[in-house]
Amino acid sequence: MKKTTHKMYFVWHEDEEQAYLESMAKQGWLLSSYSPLTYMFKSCEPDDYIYQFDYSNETARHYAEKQGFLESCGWTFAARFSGWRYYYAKRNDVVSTQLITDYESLQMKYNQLLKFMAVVFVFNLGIVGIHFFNTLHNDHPQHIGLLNLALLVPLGYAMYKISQRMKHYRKV
Amino acid sequence: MKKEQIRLTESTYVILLALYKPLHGYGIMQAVKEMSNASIVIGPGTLYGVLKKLLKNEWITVNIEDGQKIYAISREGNQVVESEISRLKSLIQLAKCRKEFM
Repeated sequence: MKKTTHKMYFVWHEDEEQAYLESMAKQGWLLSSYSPLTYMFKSCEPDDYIYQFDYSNETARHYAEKQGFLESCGWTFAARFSGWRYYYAKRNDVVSTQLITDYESLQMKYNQLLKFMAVVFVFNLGIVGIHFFNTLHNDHPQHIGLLNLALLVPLGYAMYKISQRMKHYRKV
Repeated sequence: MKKEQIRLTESTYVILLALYKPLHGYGIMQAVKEMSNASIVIGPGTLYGVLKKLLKNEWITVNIEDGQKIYAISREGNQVVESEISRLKSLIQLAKCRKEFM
């Protein structure tokens, strides 16, 4: 049996998304794939599962080794969206309920994510700049640049929230 | 890197200690949890990164047995652990200068 739900979690809603997926597992639904706003589940015996997220900018081929290692430690790869990966395991089957338990690895995960976002941010900023320049020198305003401008706001906010999260972990 | 400059992170230190007995990935996590009475738990994401670093430094070796990677501490790794232990001992010794900790 399959089930599809539509939910919106931003990248800074990691804890909420984890709690949602874990509550679904308690109702007998395990994540099988993810696409923007859409979670697809397959049925399972209701149980106490834990979800963890990993992020890497590596290509799928390079990442395969790490995925294999995590799987050999009892975690199941569930879904992927860009570099963002979803894993789950039964709480009682794993030694650690967290994939990452040290600050250095956590920093590496979030730094890679920030790097990716920074590239998208600068790219969009460039497009906004070009459109702004064109609008100034053209009688016809080019509205398409507004879309890029609108994207900069949540992107900037996401980068801020991730930096805050890193700061929080450094203190812990 | 000069040995006296090396300072191991807690994760690196306990993983090296566990590897005085050859183990596979899952076995390392279990060994660390057992020897620390569950006060130190290493996640597989952390373990993966540390093992990669240790292999690069040649502080551990890896052998494939029955399709499984088995890790073990190398002679150089052993020297690093010994120098770390003497560094930690000197820090403890420092505390003993205070009568509160004697």
